[in-house]
Amino acid sequence: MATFATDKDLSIHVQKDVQLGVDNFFATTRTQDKVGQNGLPLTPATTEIVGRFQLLKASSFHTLLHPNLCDYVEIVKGKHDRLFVIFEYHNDNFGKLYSQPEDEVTNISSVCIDEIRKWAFQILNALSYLNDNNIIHHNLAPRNILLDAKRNVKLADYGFFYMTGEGADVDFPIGYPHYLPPEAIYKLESPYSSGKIDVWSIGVIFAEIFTKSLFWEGNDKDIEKIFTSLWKLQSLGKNDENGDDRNQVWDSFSVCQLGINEAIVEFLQGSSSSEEEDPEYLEFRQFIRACLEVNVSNRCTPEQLLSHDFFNPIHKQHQQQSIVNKSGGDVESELAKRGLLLSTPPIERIPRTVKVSDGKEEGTSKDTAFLFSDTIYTLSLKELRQRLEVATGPNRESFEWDTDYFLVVDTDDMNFLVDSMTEDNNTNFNSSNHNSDDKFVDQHLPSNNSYKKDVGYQFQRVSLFSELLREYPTSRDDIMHHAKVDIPPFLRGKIWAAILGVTGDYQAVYDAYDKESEKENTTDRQIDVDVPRCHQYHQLLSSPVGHEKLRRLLKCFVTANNKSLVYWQGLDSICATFLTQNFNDEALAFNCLQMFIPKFLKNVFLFDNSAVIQEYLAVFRHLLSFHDPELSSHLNRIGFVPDLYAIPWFLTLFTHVFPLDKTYHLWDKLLVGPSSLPLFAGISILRQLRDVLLASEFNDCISMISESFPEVDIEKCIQSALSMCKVTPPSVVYRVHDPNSQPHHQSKDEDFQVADHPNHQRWWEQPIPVEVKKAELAPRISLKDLVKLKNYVLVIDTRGEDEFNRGHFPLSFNVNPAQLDHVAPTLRQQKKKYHVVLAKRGDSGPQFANDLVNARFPRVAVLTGGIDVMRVDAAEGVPVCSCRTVKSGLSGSKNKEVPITISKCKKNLMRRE
Amino acid sequence: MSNSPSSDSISALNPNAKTTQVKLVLLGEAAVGKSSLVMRFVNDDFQENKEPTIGAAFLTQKIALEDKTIKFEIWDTAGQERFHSLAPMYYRNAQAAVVVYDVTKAASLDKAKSWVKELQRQANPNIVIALAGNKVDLVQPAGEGEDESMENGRQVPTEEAKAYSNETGLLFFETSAKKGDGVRDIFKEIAKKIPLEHHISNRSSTRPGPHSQAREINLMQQGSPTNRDGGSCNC
Repeated sequence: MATFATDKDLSIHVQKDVQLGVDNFFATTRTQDKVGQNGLPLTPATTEIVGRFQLLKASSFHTLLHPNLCDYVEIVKGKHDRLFVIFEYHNDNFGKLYSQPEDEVTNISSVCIDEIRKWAFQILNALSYLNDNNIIHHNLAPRNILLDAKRNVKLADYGFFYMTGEGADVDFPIGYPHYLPPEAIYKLESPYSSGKIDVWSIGVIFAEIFTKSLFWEGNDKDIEKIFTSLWKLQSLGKNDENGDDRNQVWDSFSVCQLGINEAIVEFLQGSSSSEEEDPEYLEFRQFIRACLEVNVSNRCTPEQLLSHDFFNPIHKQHQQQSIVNKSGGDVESELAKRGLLLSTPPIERIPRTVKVSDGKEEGTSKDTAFLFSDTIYTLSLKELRQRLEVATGPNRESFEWDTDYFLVVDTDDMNFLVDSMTEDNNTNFNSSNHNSDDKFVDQHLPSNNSYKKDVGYQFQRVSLFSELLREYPTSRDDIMHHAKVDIPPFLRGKIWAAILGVTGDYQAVYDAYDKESEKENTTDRQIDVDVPRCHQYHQLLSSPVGHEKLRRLLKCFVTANNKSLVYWQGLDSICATFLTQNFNDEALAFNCLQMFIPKFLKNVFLFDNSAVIQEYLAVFRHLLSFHDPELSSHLNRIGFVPDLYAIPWFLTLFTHVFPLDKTYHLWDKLLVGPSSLPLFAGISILRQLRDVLLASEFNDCISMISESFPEVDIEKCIQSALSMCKVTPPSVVYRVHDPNSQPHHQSKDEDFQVADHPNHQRWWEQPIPVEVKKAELAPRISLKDLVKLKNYVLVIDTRGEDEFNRGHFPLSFNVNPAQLDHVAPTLRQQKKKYHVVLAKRGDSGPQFANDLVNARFPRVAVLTGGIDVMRVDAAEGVPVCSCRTVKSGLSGSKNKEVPITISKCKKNLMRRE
Repeated sequence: MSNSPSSDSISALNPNAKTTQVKLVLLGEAAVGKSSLVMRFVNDDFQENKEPTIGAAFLTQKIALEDKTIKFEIWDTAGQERFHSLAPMYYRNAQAAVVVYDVTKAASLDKAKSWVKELQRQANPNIVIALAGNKVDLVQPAGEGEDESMENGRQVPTEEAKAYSNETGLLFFETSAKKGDGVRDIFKEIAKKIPLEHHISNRSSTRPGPHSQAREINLMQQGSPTNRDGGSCNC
């Protein structure tokens, strides 16, 4: 079972008491034109913060997971570099123990030493876990030590110091002076990685809770006095260094004059009451004194403190439990909690909720006091829960759109995908079990976007795909089927991986490749200059973390495909698409890329790819002629050839021309479609710009495409690409370099026949040189596909009259290619959807097809192999007809030297299926 | 170059002057700032971290001289060596080329030199070539002082590139697409150097070279003879 599919965010459990809270603060603003040493501009602080935040984010893969830490859910950039951090929130916190008036101290008295022990242990456990991940809290205060319904500790705000680059990215200090140790205020040493700062804070907090009095005397605002006292403490601690007995500071008389509350000092000096006899009490005092060790080098780290005698009861009682906890998982409660994160798609709506408060503050001057407000806004999830209950309840049928649109058949047209898709994927699904009439499709299209934004719908989709992903890879067909409808953005990265067929220990695959070593070669240099330019509007990709990841992925690609493929500019954009979807799982991003390239961009990244690209562009031009002859003919006339504008489209599968959010939507469909779908997407783009293109000459056309890429409606683009793809015979999109396409769509019968003549390749089976393909406007079609077109096709035979009479395609018309202008009206009157040219070998069939395109006949193609292929492949069910054809002259023909005539076959010998 | 008009007269387009279309191609190593130079010239704008060009981009901009107006039809090509095979398509009928290097990267001048060689060997023999050393803003002292010795990070001395340009018969400029320094000058000097005889009203001159477009050949060939024997055509 693939590991990405068993990821934690796929579990469905809902814990009711979880809320979401929002912090907001401003990042530091750096002057715009400041340039770093490398000549590139400095990354904005907000971007760096967002980049670092990804490690904290709960819904990703290799992220922090600890029962005593609140989950970080999302970070949102607001106006003026204000950042909103959304996290798991609980109403109860240590601060509430304080806030009661004197006479209502019941809350505090209920804190027995056992509970303190439990909390202290949980906090240290969480801090130790953070330290292991190179994070220190630096911001501990009673108000951000939250308590869940079972009164277990949930630390909040622990990522703040980390995500702001240890405070470098914000213009305000991080941490509450009341709870910070001397060295944090005066930055005398660099204890930043040790976590010892947080140990001091714990000491202060629990001393306060135990003694029911604040550590520092007097007015809260009198911070300067605290600073002075901390400085004095620091000096006292220095004297302590040489002493044998550690932490004598607290026993010295001078601490009484530092403005520390009397009750605290008494407690620390152990001179207060009868409780002194109690060994439990003694241990607690020792614990607090250990926390409040003034001298940093003597103070314990959180991890060391966990083995303090004070915790002996816990170690004895729950030895097993603590091991589980420390290794990161009260699994059940974790899973339960994650369930709620499934509702994150509506997170898009959260900024709106929050901006009310944002608006209030925005008018005020932006002095540092406003840069950070420690007020937490809680977001009500009540409404959301109600919505989700409805969505999962009995009304859920309202979202039953689950039809495979690839297989929906327009009753008045072809759908070649029905065959090819079912063959390719061994899908068990059938279009027949759903509505498939035109009306349904028409109604569906406009409403496409609105229901996708519905929270309930997304929740359902997420639940459905979570379930399927857990069954992956066995469920791959089902995933494909449902992904054709749409892909919930929340699980996109994983669903893509499943569609692409990533399986096995993909992490090991990624780890096995060298991606770090610096080779001074052109490829590395090219990657180095491209990475900082790749989709830099995207906050993850523009962050230093993003640069590193993208560089590693590209280097890994180069190493992994060492023998065959190379780095072409543009690959960075493709890679970025997968990276942004799996930002915390580089290995998955890499494996997606490795599966993706052979399917959609086979051989495109060869060292010499010109033949591949040339053929691709030639087929693109054929398809444009096939589906929009007027546009094709115009563009051809003005010399607006795909070579000049479409290379970045197909080399990067549009990732270089569209912003990432558009690319995601496009790729959702491209990934589940046939490998030719990108070509049709390209045609859809041209057709959206059709009116302008038709009215423009070369310069304007090329400027429009290359200066700034025009607005394209992706949803419409996908729909029209899909409908064109459906009606296009596979042989028309055949490319020599695409292993997924087949030249002649050979049936088993044909295989048998070929076996009869093993050494004889027929003349039409030789590949057409790319130069020839490029010169032609219209594509070639195989006999097999032609036969399928049945009633929709008009076969136009351009051979001589005698040859035509001797044998021809049933119901075909015989015309003189030179007389197209005259016969065109008659041909049009047939009102056929497809026009296939049947010509003599080496004759001007393709030229006549060009003329048909220029005369705006739709869906024009040339039959590969002409009449010869019919004679050989009679098994296709189309015998060569040799009936007496009906010849008719056209009016106005009498004045011509060569009379204008059309001969028609009247016999329909095609087998009806 | 002798009687250079004031910059004011350049900005105003003279409606009576004949408009000459000049096809210009930009070449040079990746990330030296080709697209940024064009963006500065065409839109008078600059974008940090401009995305790489894949294939090529096309833009136009007019520039007015005293006696004529030049409309540049600019092909901005991809810098990565792998796209080299596409380049001839763009420079084949070009009347002018700007070859760009980065003054902070010595290797980029080597690449520029190899482009110049290729142009002189394979492009239109009358092609006007300009060499542009871009990113001088990075090596200018922060305090706007003119003390050249203060420059750091520069890997290509101005004299070296200048000497090479003189030897090879190129126009030479040092530019900053970011600040705009020298960008207009390149195009202005190229415009002056383009012989008046090169007037081509045929729009098809823009199109990159013919490659196997059988039906287009006629149109293409109308452009090229005019380029080749420009001196004799005095219509």
